[in-house]
Amino acid sequence: MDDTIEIAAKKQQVQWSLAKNTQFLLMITLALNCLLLILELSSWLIAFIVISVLWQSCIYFKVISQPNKLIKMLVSISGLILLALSAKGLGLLNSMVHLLVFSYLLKPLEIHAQKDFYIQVLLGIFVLVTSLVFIQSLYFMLLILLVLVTNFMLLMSAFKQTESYKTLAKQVSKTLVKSLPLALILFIGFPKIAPFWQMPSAKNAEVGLSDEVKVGDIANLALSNKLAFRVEFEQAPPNYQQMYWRTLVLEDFDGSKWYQQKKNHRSWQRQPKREEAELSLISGLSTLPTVSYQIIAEPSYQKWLFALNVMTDASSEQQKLNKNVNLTLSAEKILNSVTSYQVTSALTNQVNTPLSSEVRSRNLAVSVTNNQQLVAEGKRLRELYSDDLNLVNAVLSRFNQQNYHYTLNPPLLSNNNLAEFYFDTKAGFCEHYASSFTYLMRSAGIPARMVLGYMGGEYNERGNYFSIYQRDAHAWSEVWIKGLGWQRIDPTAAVSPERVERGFSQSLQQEQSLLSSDFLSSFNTSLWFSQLRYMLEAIDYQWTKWVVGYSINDQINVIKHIYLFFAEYKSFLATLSLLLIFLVVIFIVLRIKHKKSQHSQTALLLYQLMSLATKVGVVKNRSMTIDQFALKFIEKKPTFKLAIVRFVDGYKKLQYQALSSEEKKKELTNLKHLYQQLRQQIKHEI
Amino acid sequence: MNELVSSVIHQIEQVVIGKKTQVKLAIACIFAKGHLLIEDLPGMGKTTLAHTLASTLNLSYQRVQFTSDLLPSDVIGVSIFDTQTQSFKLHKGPIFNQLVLADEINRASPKTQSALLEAMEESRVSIDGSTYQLPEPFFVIATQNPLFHSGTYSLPESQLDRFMMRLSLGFPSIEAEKKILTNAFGAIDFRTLKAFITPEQLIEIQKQVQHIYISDAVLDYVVALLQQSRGGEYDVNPLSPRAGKALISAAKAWAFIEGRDHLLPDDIQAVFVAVCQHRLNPVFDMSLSNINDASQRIINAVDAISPSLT
Repeated sequence: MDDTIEIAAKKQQVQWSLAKNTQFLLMITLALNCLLLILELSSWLIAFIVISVLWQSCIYFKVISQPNKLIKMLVSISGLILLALSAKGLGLLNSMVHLLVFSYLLKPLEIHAQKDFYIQVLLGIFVLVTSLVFIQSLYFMLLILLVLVTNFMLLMSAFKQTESYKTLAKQVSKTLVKSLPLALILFIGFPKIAPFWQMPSAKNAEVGLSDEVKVGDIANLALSNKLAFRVEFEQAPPNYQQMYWRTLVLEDFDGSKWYQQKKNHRSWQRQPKREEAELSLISGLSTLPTVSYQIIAEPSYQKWLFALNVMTDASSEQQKLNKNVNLTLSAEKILNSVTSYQVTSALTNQVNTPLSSEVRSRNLAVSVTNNQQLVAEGKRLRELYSDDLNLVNAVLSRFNQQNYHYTLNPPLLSNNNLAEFYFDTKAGFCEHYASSFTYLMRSAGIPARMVLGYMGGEYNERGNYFSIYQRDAHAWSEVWIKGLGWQRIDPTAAVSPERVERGFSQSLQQEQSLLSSDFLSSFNTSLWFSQLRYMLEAIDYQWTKWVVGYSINDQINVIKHIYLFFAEYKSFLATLSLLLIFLVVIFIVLRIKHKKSQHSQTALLLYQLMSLATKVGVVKNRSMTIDQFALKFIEKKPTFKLAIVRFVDGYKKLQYQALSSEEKKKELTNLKHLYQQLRQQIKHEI
Repeated sequence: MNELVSSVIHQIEQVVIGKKTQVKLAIACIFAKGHLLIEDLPGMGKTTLAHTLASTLNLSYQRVQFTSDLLPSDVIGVSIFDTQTQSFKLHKGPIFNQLVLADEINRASPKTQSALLEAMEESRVSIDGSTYQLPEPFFVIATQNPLFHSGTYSLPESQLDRFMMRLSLGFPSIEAEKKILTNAFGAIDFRTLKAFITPEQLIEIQKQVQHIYISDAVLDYVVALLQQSRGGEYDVNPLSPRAGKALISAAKAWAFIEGRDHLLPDDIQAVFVAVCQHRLNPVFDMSLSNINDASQRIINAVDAISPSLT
């Protein structure tokens, strides 16, 4: 602390400027802080980052001098114009980030005083943590921590100009480690109040399912390795064939696209959503095996959630969950952060509920404009099979026995014509099968609907959880059969059963590696690599579960647990803390005694004077001798001159001159007297 | 006595312009019976300072210009066979003077350097088996060019340690430089300088300096400074007890010049850089802006009033 004051004082005397190594660190942190945001920045700003780093290194190496006002003005105005031009495409959050980064880049050009330097450092740290809005994984967080160290090194280098980078880094890391307990306490205890304002969502177009699907959409997803959600089962996980994560039920078809709710059906658009699913209507629910699990969903910027059939109970501590009438789950608010929720499901592939006439007619509607051939085919089948189940099986066995095959790259269909697929091309992806099957069922007079969701998941042995990626996206059908209710039918399973059994990820990977037998895919499948990947993912899972997903409710729970713990072991803890307090008191007393014995009464008097002096704003630097201290005091408070000089003279006599014990006694009483006078005077001043 | 000291300082200042602190330190070094090393670029007034000191203190004086081919016998002397008396006669070298100026000491070979330095340490020399006592008082003022200059042999740490202080004059201020440039056409005539102190007085002063009182508080401070240098935080050679002794002697001389009969921590601080820097960091490098940095940092790290607090 003393060093800081002294250096600060020195700085005020001379023209304030940054030391060489501080300048260098400033440049480095500038580049690093911006680098972590680079994925979110538009190209002109990235170009400007490069230019400004080059510019500042030119100034650093004295190739050019500091720019004048006009240049600074021109640069900032042109930057603002560019920002204004690109603001619309960027969205609110991103343009604000751009503005922040832009000002952060310009600020180093006008560091004239210590204050400016502090602003620059704080701005840098703010820029750095802004990148957490976009990426929250553990590894990224570690990277941020590393860059944070350089930021603090920058701050520290202003105070300890002569230290090497190594000692700076050491000191900063030491300080950071020391601050860890406080950070932990704040993390656990400081109320995580939701922001008073709505955080603008970071991304509008996110990879994932969407609530209107046309043929070919999921095929795009199939190559995405992005995580959708993770599941941890409380009991043994169900069979693979039962892991159909229902997400969306699409009931309206306009000839090419499936919708959750078609726009023109305003009359019953809102109401069904608000309606709670009526579980009491499902017969035989109580006899089914139940399974409970926790889902941790990655931010999808959508409202829907994932659950196994039949979802009977769901709750989340972060959000209010809606149980929709078609037995899907959705959140009250858009998922813009990691959300975890608990679900209990009764495992089944059929839901025996009565069908209202309204829903029945909705699930029988066929588009009149398109796919006439399929309608005819439906009618033909209806004539052949009177029993619904037989009809379903007939179609499935057609898929199975005829030359249908399953591919990621199906031939293009004109105008999404399902009939063309069904009769001619016979090659497609899960939506081709699901939608043509659903359509066919409707044509044959069996209520049917499309279900979108995810299928299966990748089991992580180390973390004992399943990861479900976007590539696991799947589409299947549900048909309503009298006596059985809604029955899940997966036509894709009929085409290639092994795909459903083994899961998409694996079979797709095979297909991919067949398509492009490159090095990376063989790398992907190698054993040690997958082992490593599982381990890293397991760590990331725990991080997401406990740190990123730590909500105010978790906080309340933790505090409650701590409270309960204390309540339980009340007497034990009380004795322990009493003992601790006792020890601390003994320690302090011993220290004071030690101090007193070490320092003469003279030194104690001076010590008291110095603590008084701090109150009037005179702080002693460590290296200051008594005379220098007196000079500083007089400079600040000239009215005390006489009293201070007399005290200091007395002090010097006692402390530094050879005196007999009698003289010492006399001087000491004199000094005490002088001290009292000074004290009065200072007290009066305060 | 004090007037004497201040007039000495005043006279030297007339010649070595604008370097009051360095002049005071040089005198303190002599009062403390220490040898002085002046280190700077050529043309900064090293020799002038040494010469002025000698004249002002009225000491017998000789200057030895060290070169790479200088032999030890050129410094300490040699016995030569006298054909008339049929015996060896000692030809005393320049070292048998009260004040020896060893100019550009680091240009000589290590052998010659150590001959001089041995004499400094022992205050006597041996030539051909007989030992000769050097005169009292005896001082060496050595000057040295920065190490990066060509044709220099650096003094080893153990020999640097023989010098009580290392001074660097540094560039003069603008005012002083103007003054130097206007009156320095031609060399200064050192014979015109008035001798203020007799050698006997100087010995008397040296005795008085020894008797300056050092209190426990100041002793604590010195010990704390020495300890601080040994912590390993500064990347320097730690200070030895001999350095501590030199520090106290020099500070006593400083207190004497200030007209006090006791030491204050201020005295320690005043001489600390000059006494300790060359022991902490032997390499003298003008290109580094922070030559005196390690000693300054050590001072900053120790509480001057209550050293045990740090």
